[in-house]
Amino acid sequence: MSQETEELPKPRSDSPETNAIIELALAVHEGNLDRLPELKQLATRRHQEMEEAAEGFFGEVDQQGEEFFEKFRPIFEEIERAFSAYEAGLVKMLEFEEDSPPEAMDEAARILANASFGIRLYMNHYEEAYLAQGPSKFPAVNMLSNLGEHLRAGRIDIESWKDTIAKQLDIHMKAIEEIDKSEHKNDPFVPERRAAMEEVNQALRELDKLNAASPEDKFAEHLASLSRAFEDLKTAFDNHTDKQFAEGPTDAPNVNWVIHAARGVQAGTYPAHVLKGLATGVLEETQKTLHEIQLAAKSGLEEGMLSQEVARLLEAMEGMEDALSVLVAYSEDQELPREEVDDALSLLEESGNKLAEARDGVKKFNETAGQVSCVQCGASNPLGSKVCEQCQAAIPQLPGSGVYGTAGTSFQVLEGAAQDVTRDAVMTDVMKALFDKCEAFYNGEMPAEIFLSALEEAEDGIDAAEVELRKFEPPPMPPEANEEEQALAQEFIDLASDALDLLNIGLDECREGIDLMRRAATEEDVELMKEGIRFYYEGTQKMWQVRRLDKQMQAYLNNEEIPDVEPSDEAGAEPMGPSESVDLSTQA
Amino acid sequence: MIQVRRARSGDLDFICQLTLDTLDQGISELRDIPNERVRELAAENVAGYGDMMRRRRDYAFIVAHQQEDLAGFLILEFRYIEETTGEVQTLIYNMAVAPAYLGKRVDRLLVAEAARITHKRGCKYMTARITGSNERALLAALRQGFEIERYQITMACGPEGPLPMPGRPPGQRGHATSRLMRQRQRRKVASNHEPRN
Repeated sequence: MSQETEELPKPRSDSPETNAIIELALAVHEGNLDRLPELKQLATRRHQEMEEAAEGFFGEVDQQGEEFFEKFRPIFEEIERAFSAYEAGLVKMLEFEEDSPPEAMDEAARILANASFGIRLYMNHYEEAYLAQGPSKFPAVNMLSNLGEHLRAGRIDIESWKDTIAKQLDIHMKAIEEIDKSEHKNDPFVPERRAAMEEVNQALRELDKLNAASPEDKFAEHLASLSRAFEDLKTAFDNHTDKQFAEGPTDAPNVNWVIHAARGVQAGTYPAHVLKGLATGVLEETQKTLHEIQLAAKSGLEEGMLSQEVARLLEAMEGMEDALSVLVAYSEDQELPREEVDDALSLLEESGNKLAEARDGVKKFNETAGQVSCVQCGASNPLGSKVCEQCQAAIPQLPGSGVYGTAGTSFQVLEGAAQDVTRDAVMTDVMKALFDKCEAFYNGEMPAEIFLSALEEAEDGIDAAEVELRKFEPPPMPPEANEEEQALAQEFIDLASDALDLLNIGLDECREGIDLMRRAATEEDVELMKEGIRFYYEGTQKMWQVRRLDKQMQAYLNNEEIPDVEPSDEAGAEPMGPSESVDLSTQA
Repeated sequence: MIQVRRARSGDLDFICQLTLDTLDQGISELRDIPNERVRELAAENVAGYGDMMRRRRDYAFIVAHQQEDLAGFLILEFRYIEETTGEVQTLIYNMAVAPAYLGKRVDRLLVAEAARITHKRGCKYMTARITGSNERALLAALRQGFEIERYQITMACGPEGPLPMPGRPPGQRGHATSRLMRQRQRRKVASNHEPRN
């Protein structure tokens, strides 16, 4: 296989002075070493000119003040880098000797050409950014407004004014031509976009007729028309984009945008920097939201249903984060393996859909959940209600302090069983008493010694419950049961095992909660206190769950018909707490 | 003929080495910190010169040269704020002349170029700091047109309060004996040679 040397295009610059140096450098590169002294002399002079140009530029910038510099800092830093690169090219030429490899001079010429381009490019960026400052949200309007002022003041000539307008006209004329040639010209909102561009051009043509002697209000009038035209253009563009990109494989418009852009980059129809901008933006938003949800999930006292949706949300957002990270990397390096990008797109699509579902779930939950049942009449009331809407009975409140993390949440203080295990949280007298003590300590109403002593007492209750719990085992398999009976029995034996495990876990969590409360008291850490309360609460909820299952167990053991697992409405049932044991008979 | 120009990256080695070679001149005779320790600190400092040179908005590096031979340098810092008036001015961050070029007015050329750049940057004043015991540098600066604006006064402190400044050990002094000391010595020599009656 023959190797072909790829010939690079000849370096050149739009600056005549730089180009003269490049031509000399290329001559030396081609072997005309007698031109080396001339080149060095020119390069030396050019170095001084370059430094003076930089001096003059940064001097003007300095005179505008630090605030001005900070505003355009990124552009100034690029300009500084471009000057350094230009210097590097010149230095390379100055250091070239007759016995240096010729390629070094070619390299120097290319460095100089690129740097020259860079200086012009960033100077233009600066000029545009500077002129685009103003009260309008459209840079072009600000630029023409500023230039108009310069024109009237005689600081620029009419040619500069007309040149700028011609450039703007050219941009929009070309855009109109592209629409006219496109097969999508009748797509939704494209005709509106075209019409808006015509409006822009009309306003520009009116501005083109003005000169230094034209009154200021004429400038203002046509600039206002231009501004309105740009507004129409923006609206048409936004509508078109939403329509085109917001629809896609997921219900999340911003995810659809990214997927669309990534597919476009793969097909070569979309520039990579567009994908980078989109993917980076969505990734940052996702990471921020993920962090907030993680914090909320950690600190809040969650309802069972809500915690499921939060878990789904977290899963979806973590998936999106992973997928978007790959797509950002792809936007910077299109050599990334296609499979990796395709996997990321699939993950993004899946996560986007999961996110939409989880959001719907949370929304539905918020609409219907958070109900609290009245202990008197059983009616459902909105979360936070203090008085039952049905019978006007008082609904007991969890003290709304920061210690608990959820201010004003109302729970059903248990005298009977909870109405709905999936919706309502259970609060026993024992729990309430403990949490009251936590709040009292937190508010400085209870000395530390008394609080710690109360915690010890609660811990003693847990120890006692644990001792009792050790006596219980799952019921044995009936020895003479037939196959069907054995299958049913096994089901309940497993249930009993799970119940005992859950009780033990519940007790462990209560104990953990006490430990955290104790640490919180000695270290004066509110977050630890909240964590402790949460653990204790969760532990108690688990044990309460077991109590509900106990009815089924009793029925099985008494050879009675097993009821469906539903909330008991028996009144007067003893409150459940860590100091009480579960009455699981071992009778076969 | 000696000329001045803006420094290039290739001049950096010369600038760094000359900084370290002339370091002792900048150490106050009143302090007792060993020269070696000052050199260690300076070596760390000069390592940053390359980056400073690239920051055109913040610094200007100027060199004096005769043909290809470098004679001296000056580093000018921009946007140095005058502490009492708040005026923006430039500061001569560092300056040195190669020993072979002392007495050839290299410093004058460097300072003149720095003043021109200062004006181009829109600043009215250029300032510098000179060690009190470096009388030669002070006199040179005054001859060039600098004027003394401020004194920096220092004292040594001990457990009981103020202490006299320790001074440098004889082997560590960077400057020649002070003018007053030289005058005293000349008088002493002169009186030794007077014929005794």
